[in-house]
Amino acid sequence: MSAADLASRLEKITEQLQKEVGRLAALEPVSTAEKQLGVLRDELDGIGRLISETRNEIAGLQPSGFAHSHLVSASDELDAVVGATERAAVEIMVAAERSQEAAQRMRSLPGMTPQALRDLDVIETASLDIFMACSFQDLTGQRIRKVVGALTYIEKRVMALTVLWQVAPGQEAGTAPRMDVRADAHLLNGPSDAGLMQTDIDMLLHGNAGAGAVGQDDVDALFS
Amino acid sequence: MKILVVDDYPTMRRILRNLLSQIGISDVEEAGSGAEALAKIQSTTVDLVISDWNMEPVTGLELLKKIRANGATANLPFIMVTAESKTENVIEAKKAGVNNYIVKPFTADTLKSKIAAVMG
Repeated sequence: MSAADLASRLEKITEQLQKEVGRLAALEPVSTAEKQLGVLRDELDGIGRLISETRNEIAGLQPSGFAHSHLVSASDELDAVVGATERAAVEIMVAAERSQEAAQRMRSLPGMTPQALRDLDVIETASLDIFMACSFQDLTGQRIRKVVGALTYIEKRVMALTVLWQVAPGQEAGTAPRMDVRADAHLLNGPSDAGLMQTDIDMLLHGNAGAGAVGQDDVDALFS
Repeated sequence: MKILVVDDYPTMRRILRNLLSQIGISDVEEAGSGAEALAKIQSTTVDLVISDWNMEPVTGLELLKKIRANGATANLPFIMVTAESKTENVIEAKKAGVNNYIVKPFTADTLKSKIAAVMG
């Protein structure tokens, strides 16, 4: 049964109940019963109005206007955040690469003292650390894409709901769109604070893992 | 040794290329998708694949399965480098024939040790 069918049935039931209440009120002129029936009638009237108003509100939603003014703009903003952090990460990496290259050139200069060579080691290690830190862009990008995906899903469901309420009772309103058609989509959850550590994964790959969390060393063991 | 780095994020490919360079591996090919990776594997000799998992339309797991299903590449070493860190992910990758599995974010030492473990 579609939501439109359900709403239609609810409206009919409400109307029937209202009629019954009216009929009973006419049959039983006892003051207490009258009061109770009056309250019941008011409540039923309220339910009827709520159903009607809700239906009108949903049917009145303009899919393109609603989506573009709120959900789509939110998705666009998040996409812009991903783009901006990616550009920033690239600029940082370019600077780190220049530092690495300069350090490598200096290393071959004549007359480098042991202290200078140690300092070059520090510069190269720090540059490598900067590179590794830039992987934040990949991880935050994946998290933001999950949010964008959720917003897109909500947008599609709101649009589908709007269409559904505009469908006449008895008609099919179509099925919900599937978010991700990839075969292993159920496994793709992105970065997670609840996920395994590298040592857990290593243990898991060595076949020593329990049902819960394992470490990178555990994963290593599974692969050895 | 020629390594194929597969990741749809250019930032991550650049990081991996730089890390590989720092550990003395400069012969690196890049692919921005699973499909591009398959084409490169067929057109050039690759000794090791280091791949992300979450890519579209061909995921890293699907890429791994295609590589394992092809007789010519069935034994090609494959390391998954991914943010997917759930137990079921590691188990699925293992079942598909992955040689090692690295969780992002990772260190240069981790990458180096996993490559050494896979390549001997």
